[in-house]
Amino acid sequence: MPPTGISNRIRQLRYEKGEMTQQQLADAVDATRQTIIAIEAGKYAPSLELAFRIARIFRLGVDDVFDYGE
Amino acid sequence: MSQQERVSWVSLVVNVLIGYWYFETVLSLPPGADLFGPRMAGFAIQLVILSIIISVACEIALRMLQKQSGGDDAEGRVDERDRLINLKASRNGHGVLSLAIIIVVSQIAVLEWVRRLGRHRFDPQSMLDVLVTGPLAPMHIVQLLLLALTLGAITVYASRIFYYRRGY
Repeated sequence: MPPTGISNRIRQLRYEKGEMTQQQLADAVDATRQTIIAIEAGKYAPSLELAFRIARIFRLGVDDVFDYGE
Repeated sequence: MSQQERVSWVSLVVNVLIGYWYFETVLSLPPGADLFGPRMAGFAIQLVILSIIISVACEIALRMLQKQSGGDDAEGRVDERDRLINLKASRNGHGVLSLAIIIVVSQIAVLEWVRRLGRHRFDPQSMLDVLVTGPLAPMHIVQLLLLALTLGAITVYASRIFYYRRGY
């Protein structure tokens, strides 16, 4: 379980979306690459707004990208 | 390492070095030294000029690094995580500063109270003794407040680095 308690599939989704880079995703959601790295590693729980923006890039719901483990 | 983290490292190192140099010099003065004299004023001016030169040189070096690395760094972008880290670090710095000021104010009050009771014979052997046990003149209080401000600033930069390293 990551430190934030929230796991995600961003790395896998980036790969499926034509091997999108972390920098490309960061630019698309108006965040920094460092933040994308931290989210992927489960070291940072994004705000609801950023989570929605990330999910929208992959045309998925927030629930499909992020998972809050009980 | 992000640009924000690099800036924090540089600021931390500059603050620690300049702070150490300043307080090491002040504490090594004899107990009766004139902290408002021309020698101390010259030293303080020298210190301020040097810190400006170091800060400008570091800023130029960081900008050059920034342009080389490209991406977010080239734009100097700041996002929600940076803002959150800044907020938490400032909160920690504010906490340390408040605590230090409370200690200084309590120290002034207690020393004055003891002096009025006539139970304290002030016989300081060094500047450190003066700053801890009195008698405190306004310039001594200025030194203590400067120390509080320095500790607050160091806490802000150290906290930022901690949150960036640990992940937040």
